[in-house]
Amino acid sequence: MMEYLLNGFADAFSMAVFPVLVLGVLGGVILGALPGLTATMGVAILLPFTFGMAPTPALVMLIGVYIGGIYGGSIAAILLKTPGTPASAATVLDGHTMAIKGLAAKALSIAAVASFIGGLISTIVLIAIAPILADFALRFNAPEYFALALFGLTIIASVSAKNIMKGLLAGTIGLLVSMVGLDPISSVPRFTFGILDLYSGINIIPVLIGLFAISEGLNQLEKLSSDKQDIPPKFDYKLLSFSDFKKILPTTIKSGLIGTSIGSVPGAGADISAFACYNEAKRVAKNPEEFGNGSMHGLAAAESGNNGVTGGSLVPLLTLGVPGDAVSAVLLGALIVQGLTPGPLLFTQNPEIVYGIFSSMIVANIVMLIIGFLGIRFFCRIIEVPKIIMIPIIIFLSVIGAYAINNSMFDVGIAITFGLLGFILNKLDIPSSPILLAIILGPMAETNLRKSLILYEGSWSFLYDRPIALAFILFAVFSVYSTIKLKKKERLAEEKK
Amino acid sequence: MLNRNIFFPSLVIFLSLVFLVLISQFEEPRYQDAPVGAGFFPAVIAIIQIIICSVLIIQYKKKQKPQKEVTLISSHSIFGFTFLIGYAVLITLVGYLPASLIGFTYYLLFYRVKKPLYYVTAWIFVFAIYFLFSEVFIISLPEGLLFF
Amino acid sequence: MKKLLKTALISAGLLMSASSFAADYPSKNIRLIVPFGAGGGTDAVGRTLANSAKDILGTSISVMNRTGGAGAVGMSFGARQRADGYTLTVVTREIASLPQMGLMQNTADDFKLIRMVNLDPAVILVPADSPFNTVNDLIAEAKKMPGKVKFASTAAPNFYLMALEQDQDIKLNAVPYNGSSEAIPSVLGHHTQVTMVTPGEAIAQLRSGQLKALGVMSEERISYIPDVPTLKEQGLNVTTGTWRGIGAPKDTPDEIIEILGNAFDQAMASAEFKDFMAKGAMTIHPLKAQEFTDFVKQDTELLGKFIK
Repeated sequence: MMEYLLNGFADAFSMAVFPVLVLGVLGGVILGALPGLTATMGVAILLPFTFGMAPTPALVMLIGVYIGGIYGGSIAAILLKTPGTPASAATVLDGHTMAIKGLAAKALSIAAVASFIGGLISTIVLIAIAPILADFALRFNAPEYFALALFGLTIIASVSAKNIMKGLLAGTIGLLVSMVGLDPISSVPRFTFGILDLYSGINIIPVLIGLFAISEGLNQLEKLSSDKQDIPPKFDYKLLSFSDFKKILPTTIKSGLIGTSIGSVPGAGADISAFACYNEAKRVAKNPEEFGNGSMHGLAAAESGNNGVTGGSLVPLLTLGVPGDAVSAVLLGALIVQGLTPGPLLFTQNPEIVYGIFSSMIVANIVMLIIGFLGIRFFCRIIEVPKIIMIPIIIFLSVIGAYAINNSMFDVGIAITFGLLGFILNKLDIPSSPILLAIILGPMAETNLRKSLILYEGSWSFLYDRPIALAFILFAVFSVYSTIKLKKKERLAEEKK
Repeated sequence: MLNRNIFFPSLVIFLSLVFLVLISQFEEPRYQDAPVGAGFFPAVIAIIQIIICSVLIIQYKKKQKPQKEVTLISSHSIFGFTFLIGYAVLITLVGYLPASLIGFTYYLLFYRVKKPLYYVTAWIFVFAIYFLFSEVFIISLPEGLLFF
Repeated sequence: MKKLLKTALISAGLLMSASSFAADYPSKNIRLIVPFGAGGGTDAVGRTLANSAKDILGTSISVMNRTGGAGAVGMSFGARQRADGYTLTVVTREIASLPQMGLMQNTADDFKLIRMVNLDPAVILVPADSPFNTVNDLIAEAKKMPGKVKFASTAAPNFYLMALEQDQDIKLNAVPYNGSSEAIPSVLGHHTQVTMVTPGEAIAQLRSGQLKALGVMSEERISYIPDVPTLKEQGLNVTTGTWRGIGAPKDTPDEIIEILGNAFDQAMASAEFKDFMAKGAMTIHPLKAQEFTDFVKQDTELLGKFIK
C-alpha cells in the first residue's frame, strides 16, 4: 500500500498531472466563490473534457475542482456575507462577523487552515479505514436518514441567535418552502398553484443567494446614505498566530472526523456537515456566547466540517460502487468512461488508480492551502472596494448566479423574492440560516419517515429498535436539552448585568 | 400603523390557516401505498407554525418594552427593490449584456457618482462576467426576448 | 407614440427571432432534462449521449437532473418547456405508465419523440449471502409470506415488480427509493431483501460478487452477464425492462427534430458512445422518430391492460 501511495505522489507531482491538479483546484476556488456556481457544476462541466485524458490526470482534475470548490465558497462568505454554496452558509455566522471587526485576514487564514486539516484528515481516514466506513454507510437506511435529519433540524435552535422562537419560526417557514412541488412519494402536487416551475420544488441555490447575498446587498444599500454609516474597521493584516492555531486545533480535528463520517453516508453532504460541526463546537465550547459574534472555533468547525466531507463522500464510490453525492456521481461516470469498475474490485484490479486518487487528494489539499494563503492579501482588497460599487456587483452576481444554476429566469424570481423576505426578516430579528437548514433537511426528514413506515408496514418501532437511528434521536433530544440549558445560562448572565 | 411584532406573526398565522385549507384540498393519489400521506407533514408544520407565532405574540405583549425601532423600509430600500426587479425585467427583455450595462450606469447616475473610474470599473466588470460565464464555464447568460 | 414604437420594436424582434428559428439552429446551449438522479442508469446514458452529440451539433448540451415523482416531475417539466429545441428530455418508460395511473398530467403525446436510445431488461438481484438462489426460491417465499418480502423499488409503482407479481399472483412489500443508487445500498445493507434494476446499474456489484442475480427478464441472455439465466429458462414467462429515448416539447418545429434526430443517430453510432454503453453494460436500441412513437403507443397499451 505504501508503495502505491508513494508512486501516487510521484504521479501527482509529474508534469502530466501536477499542472492539471493546480488548475483544477484554482478553478474550483473561483467557481465556489461565485454565487450560484457549485463544485458539482464545475465537475459536471469538466467531465466531458476528461474523456480523452488518461485516467489519473482526469480524476485528479475533477477531485481538485471538488476540493477547491468547497473551500472557495468560504471566501465570499467571509468577505461579503454571500456564501457561494450551501456548504459555506455556516461559515457566514462567524467568519463574516470576524471580517466586520477588521479581522478578515485572520478569518481567511483560519478558513484555509481548517479546510486543509479537515480535508487531510478526511483523506487519511479514507485511506486507512474506507471498508469500515463503508460498513457504517451501509447501515444507513430510511430510519437512520430520518433520525439524522431530525437531529439536524435541532441545530436550528442553536443557530438562532437571540430568540429561539424566532429561529423556530424561520425553521417552519423553510420546511413549508421545502414542501412545495410534487410529493416525492406519491407525486401529489403540493402548493404548486398549477405553476409548472414549482413542480420540481424550490431550488435551494436561488434561495441561498436571495437570503444571504441579495438581502445583504439591500441592507448595505440602505446604510449607504444613512447617517449611521459603518465606520470601516481598522484593517488588520495579521494572520492566525501559532497560539490561535493551537486553540482551534482540537475543534478542527474533531470537525474533520465528523465531516468524514457524514460524508461517507450517501445522501448527506457538506452543507449538513458544516452545520452539525458548528453545533457540536458550540455545545462543548467554554464560551458559547462567542458563537455568532466572531468565534474562531465556530469558523474553524464549519470550514473543517465541510471540507471533511470530501474524503468521506468517496467511500461509497470506491467501496460499494454507488455515488455518495452529486460530485461522486460524476466521478463514477468518469471512472466508467475510463473503463474502470468502481467498487471493491478497483482496489484489487487497479490499485494504482485508487492510490493515485488518494495521494492526489493529499496534494490537492496542500495546493488549496497554498492558494488560500497566497490569495489572502488579494482577497482582502475586495473589502476595500468602495461600497457604492461593491453593492451592485453583489446584486448583479446574485442575479446571474441564480439564473445560471438552471438557466431559468424563474429562479431569478425566487432569488429576488427570498432576497426581499430575508431583508424583512432581518429587520424583525428573525435569522435566515434556519430557513436554509430546514430546506436542506425537510425533504430528507419527510421522505425517509414515510419510507420507514412502508418498510416497517406502518409500525413506528424503527424509532427505537435500530441502534444508529436511536442514537441520532437521542442526540437530537440531547441537543435540544443543551440548547435550552445554554439559553437559560445566557439569560441569567444577561439579567445579572 | 400596526406594530410589526404583532402584525408579522399574525400574518403568518393567517397564511398557515390558508395552507391548512390548501392541504385539505390536496388531490387523492390513485396509487398510494404510504401509511402517512402527502398532507401529513405540511399540516403538522403549519400547526406548529401557528403555535410558534402565538407564542411570539404573547412573548411580545408580556414584555412590552419600548424598543427603538429601526425603520422597516426606507426610500433607499425601495430604490433597491425597484432596481432589482427592474434589472430582472430588463434582462428578460434585452438580455444580460445590455441590461447590465444600462442597469449599472443608471445605478451610478442615481447615486450621482462623478468619478469616471467607477463607470469604467462597472463596464469592465460586466464584460468580464460575460466572458467568464459564456467562454470559460460555457453557461449561456440570458439572451432576452427582443434581440440577440 | 412611445407605446406604438415599443410595440413595433417588440413585434419586430419576435418576427426576427421566429424566422431565423430553424436556420441557425442550434445557436446556443441545449439543455437535456434527466428525470432521474445523478449517477443512475438514465443519467449516465443522457450524459454520454449529450457528450457525443455536442460536437455533431456544434453546441454544448448541459444535463439537468430534475428528480421526483418517479420521473413525473422531470418529464412534465420537459414537456412544458419552450418548444424551441433548446430543451430536450430523456423520455423513459414512465411516460407510458404514470399518466394512466393519474400520477402525471402530461403524456407521450405532449412530446415529439426524436429517437429511442436503449432497451434494457430488468435483473432480479439479492445480496450475495441471500438464501434465495433462483427466482422460484423468491416466489416460494413470497407465497408463504404475502406482503412481507421487502423489495427495494427504484420507483413507485414498479412495473418490473408488477409484471412478476401479476404473473405469479404474489405480493411483495415495495419500498420506494430514489433510483438504483439508493436501492442497491439498501439491498447490500440487508435493509431490503431483493431489488430489480437493469444490468448496467448493478454491473459493479455483480462483477465484485456483492450481489447475486436470480434471473434476467429478457427473451435471451444478455452478453454482459452471460451466466445469468433468463426467467424463461426457469419456467416463468415474464419479460420486462425499460427503455429510454429523447423527446422535445410537442410544438417543436419538424426541421429542428430532423436536425436533432440526425445528430443523435450519429452520436449513437459513434465509437465513444458505443464504447461507453458496452463498458456500462447497456444495450443500444436505436429507433427512428416514427418507430419510437409506435413503440411507445404499444407499450402504453400494454401497461394500460396491466394497470386495470
